[in-house]
Amino acid sequence: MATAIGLAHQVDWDVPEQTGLWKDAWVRFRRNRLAVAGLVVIVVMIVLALGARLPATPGGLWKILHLTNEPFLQDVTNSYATPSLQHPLGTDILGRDQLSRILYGASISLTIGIVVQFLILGIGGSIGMAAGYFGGWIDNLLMRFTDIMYAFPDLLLVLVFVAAFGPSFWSIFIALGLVYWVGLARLVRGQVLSIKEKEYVEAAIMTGTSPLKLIVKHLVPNSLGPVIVTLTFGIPAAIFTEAALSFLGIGIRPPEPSWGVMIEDGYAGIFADPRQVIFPGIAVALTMLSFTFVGDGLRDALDPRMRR
Amino acid sequence: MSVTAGAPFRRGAPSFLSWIPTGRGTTLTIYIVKRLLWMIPVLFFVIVITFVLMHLAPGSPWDREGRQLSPQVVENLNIKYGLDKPLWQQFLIYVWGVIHFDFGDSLRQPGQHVSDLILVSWPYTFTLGAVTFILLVPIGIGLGVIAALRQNSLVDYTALGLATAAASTPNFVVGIFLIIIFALGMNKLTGGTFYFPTGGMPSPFNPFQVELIMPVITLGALPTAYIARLTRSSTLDTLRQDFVRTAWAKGLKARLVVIRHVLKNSLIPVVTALGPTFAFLITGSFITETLFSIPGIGRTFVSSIAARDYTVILGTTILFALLIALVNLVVDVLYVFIDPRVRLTE
Repeated sequence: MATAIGLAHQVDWDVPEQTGLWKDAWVRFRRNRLAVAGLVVIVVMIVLALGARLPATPGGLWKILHLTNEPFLQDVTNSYATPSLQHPLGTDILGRDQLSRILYGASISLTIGIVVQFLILGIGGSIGMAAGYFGGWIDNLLMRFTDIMYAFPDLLLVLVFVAAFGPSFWSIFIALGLVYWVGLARLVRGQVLSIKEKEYVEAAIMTGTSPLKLIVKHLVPNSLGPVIVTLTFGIPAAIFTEAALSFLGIGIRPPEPSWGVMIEDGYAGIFADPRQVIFPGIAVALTMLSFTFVGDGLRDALDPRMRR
Repeated sequence: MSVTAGAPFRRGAPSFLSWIPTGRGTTLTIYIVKRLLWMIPVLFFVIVITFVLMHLAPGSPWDREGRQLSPQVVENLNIKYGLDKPLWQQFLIYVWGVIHFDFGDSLRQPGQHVSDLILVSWPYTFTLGAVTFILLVPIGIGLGVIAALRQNSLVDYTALGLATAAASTPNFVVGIFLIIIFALGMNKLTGGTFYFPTGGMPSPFNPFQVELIMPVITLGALPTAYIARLTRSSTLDTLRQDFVRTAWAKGLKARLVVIRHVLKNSLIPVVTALGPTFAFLITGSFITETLFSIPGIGRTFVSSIAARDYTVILGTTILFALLIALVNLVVDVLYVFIDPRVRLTE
């Protein structure tokens, strides 16, 4: 036996040039022009959002990235200014620069949208994996619990959670995580159940692979694709929910210029100046659209069978 | 009588149900009864979760902006509404009430029962939701089928592009843009003679009112896009099936192939979309009703969250959860009738 393995090592396998799953996926992803455009928009937005959050000290990096004015600086004498070189998107009712407020809002929306996905991955991934891996009563219990969570519409439960935690950035963050894990848990459970049936996993179990290694070596790489796609589609959902909450007056509180807050403010003054709503509205829609395109691209790239 | 090994003793109904004739209908009845019974624990936990969260919340229903109520008044109010009792006691009292269809009094609108508030506001939500639903299903399915039949044509790309844009534009943005174009813009364009009204619903139960046009588009854009995308992809799947090729090959007219062979199969998965669509109509009503000042249940729910009106929040949440559970049950049962391949399990 030992010699056989030793021999196998010496054989010079004639392997055609290997392209890994990820390289393949990247090639397929690049072919989808909409997905690439979406990715570019997102990257630009992340850079601009970072710039908007840099401390407003003059000089250095701030000069380069902090393209615009202070998002909180009021100038009441200059309210509802029409777009000009100094204020490219005009000013709001308190004379604050709209562009810098939208960029600052981008930092809030993108942070919530992207970072929440890690929380969802943590909660949904571990619950789904536990249910699928252990099976039996644990599976039953966890799945009945997800059934109960399904009885609530998403937005309703988020509203109740945010009402319970009080309106703040962190309560929205936690509420989104506590609501949106359900779909991922079901997905991961299904993945685990189907992978458990595969011969190579049975072989691994029979050769005495430890559960941890089984998870790291087989379960995670095999279910990574669908999980990434689900999480990517979760980003626009989270961005929408945050904006909707703030729009309903239950999310981020006014001095912070979240997109939802800006739309709510602008809607109140829509007869005075519709631009107040148009620009943040376009920002939300554009961001959500970009993430949807990237999600579509990732789905086609990571799962060639789904491609049409 | 002993049970022999492997005997399918669990397959039939228990003996006390032996008077029910057996057959497909009975399985269905048992299935429906089981699902209805399962709703009881679900609704119970919905109450538990909402109740606990509401009482975790900082602030109380007696908080007022500006002048605060005196401590003595707050104490009396707490006693009147039973909020001075320990939490578990309040919970039991509430659940006891719910079992008797008593959802308590509104804390912020004195003298108003929660059920009265719901009775007053549901016609608005119902009218909005029903009109939207009746329009969105045929439009969504129609767009999806046309796009699939003309795959990769201009029609397909237009429908798909519209659907993608609608699916990723938040409904409040859709609504506001509609207001800007059809209320503000038209007002300016026609010099104030013709424009769409931006709010209210003067007469509930009347599906033909101008006031409904913008709210219905706002509420319906996303689910229509969702159904169109789903119909398109399932129709494309069906078009590739062998039996469709056979239908073409034996020289059936296009209309017959599409209606008898393609649609009959491709619309089956669309039925499952009706559950999520219904849930979306409910959450969408929160935003649409707030945006267009329609005094429906959605707006009642949102304002009760802001006001910490515990009983109204609980009552509306239970109502929504019950409706969604019922719709999902109806969809699952419908599925059995539409798709003979599906067998009820569990």
